[in-house]
Amino acid sequence: MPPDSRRDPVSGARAVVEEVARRSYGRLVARIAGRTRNIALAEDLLAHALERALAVWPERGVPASPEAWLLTAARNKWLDELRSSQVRQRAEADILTGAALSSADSAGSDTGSLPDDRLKLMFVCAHPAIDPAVRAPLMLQTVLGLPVRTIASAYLLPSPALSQRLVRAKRKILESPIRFEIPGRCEIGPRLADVLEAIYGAFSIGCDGSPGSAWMCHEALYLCDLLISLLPREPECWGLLALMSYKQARAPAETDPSGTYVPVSGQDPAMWCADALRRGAGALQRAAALAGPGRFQIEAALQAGHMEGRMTGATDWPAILYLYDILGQIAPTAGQAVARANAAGEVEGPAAGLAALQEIPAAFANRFQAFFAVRAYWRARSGDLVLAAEDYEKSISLCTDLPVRRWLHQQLRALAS
Amino acid sequence: MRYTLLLYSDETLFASMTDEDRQQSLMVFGEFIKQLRQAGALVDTDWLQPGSMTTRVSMQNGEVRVQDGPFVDSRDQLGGYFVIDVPDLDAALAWAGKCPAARFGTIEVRPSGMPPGGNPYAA
Repeated sequence: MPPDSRRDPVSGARAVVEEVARRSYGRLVARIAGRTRNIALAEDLLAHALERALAVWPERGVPASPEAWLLTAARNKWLDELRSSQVRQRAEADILTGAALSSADSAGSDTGSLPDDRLKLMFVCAHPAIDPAVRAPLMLQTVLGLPVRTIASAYLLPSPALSQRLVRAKRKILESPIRFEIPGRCEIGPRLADVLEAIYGAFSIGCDGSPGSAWMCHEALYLCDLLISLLPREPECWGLLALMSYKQARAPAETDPSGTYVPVSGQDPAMWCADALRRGAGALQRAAALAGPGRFQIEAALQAGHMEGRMTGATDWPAILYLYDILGQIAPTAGQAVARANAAGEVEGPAAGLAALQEIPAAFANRFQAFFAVRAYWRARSGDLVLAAEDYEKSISLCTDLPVRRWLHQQLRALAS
Repeated sequence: MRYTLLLYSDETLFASMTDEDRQQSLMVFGEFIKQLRQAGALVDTDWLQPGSMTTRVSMQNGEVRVQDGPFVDSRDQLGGYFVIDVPDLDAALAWAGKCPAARFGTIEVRPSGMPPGGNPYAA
């Protein structure tokens, strides 16, 4: 039964507190941290304010603007702490900023008019001085208010190991100090790329199929939506939304009932999520209209190309090869090099595919499972079944993903028949 | 070919783990163990208690000497191991790279020195 605030003020107020915490956590932490410059302190102050709300609201009723009330409670606690602290001079200065916090915030009557500092917080979390591995976890904790243990499970980390890194990152932000601001015009490009990279990193972890991480896809999409609402004219934000949407659309068709991986060329388009597909296409159009190409838009266009090819039965391989070439110029990776070689094979035949694979630097190819899987395919297509089988064996030995292992075994067995 | 993955990490991290933290760590490693087993690569694994729980045994002057305490006083301690059976070193490195311990510590990968088929004199 849902709590009824008229009959039971305690559970009613608790429900409102929980709802506000869920809806506005990141907004409030961002707001407080933007003033205190201290994320850990902002989280503590907000936790204290939420506790106060649980004690006060059942008696005096839920305030008209719960968010403004929480901000005031957080500010009062902060001022108390400053007054009792040893460093008087520093505190005086901070109290002045504290007053600024309260006057700016009491003006807002709901979250709509509360200035949104979450964008600044996202830029702080993904700052170049912060370890790339901790940027996304830091965003998930501070912007979305997710518990450390939940985030740690998704990252396959024991939670004390992640806690330590988050504490270290917040200390670095405080002591460096890293400024809470939106980067200026000439700096925003690379800084935004770091934010997008962190969000995409979280999404990819959500896609890896382990049970503790599936929720990350959803949260990464939420962060990207949030970013778009704050920076609607940045084409790469739309590009990332498109890329993640296409991948999300395809996810249900990616493994068959036996738990074997299914590549796009063998997937049933009827199993793709139509909503996500529409969202992806729409986002890619918005990105194109803003005329500023970038890595995520190209990757999204590649997804679109592969999926449209599957639907129409005629993949436009020259277009795909072209996109992989451009991608290689802006973001060369082992995955891109191997996928490009594969597209070259589709356009010009097995010999061209194998030649392109030959050109991939050993540092990219060695110990890269997909390299051997793709080379196996083109060796088989050129009639070299013995070497193809060797490559599939090598690929299987390097593969730590069970559905893909099953698929590789399937390909190996198909060679024999 | 058998390889042993020796997992080293800062054990002060795990000094004050709550029960929930412990469960969460078990879950994280459980997932990895399951994947190794499903790939047919798992031989053995264990999670060791802290270095402070070590008891040392050695023979000195013809007598067995038993001593309490860790041998080295270092933050990075052997915290566990995996023994895996995979085709070659590249495969062993792929699994070591996927091991959760690689994300918060260091993994030493050592090939087995045992003759194929095990110690013939132990049969």
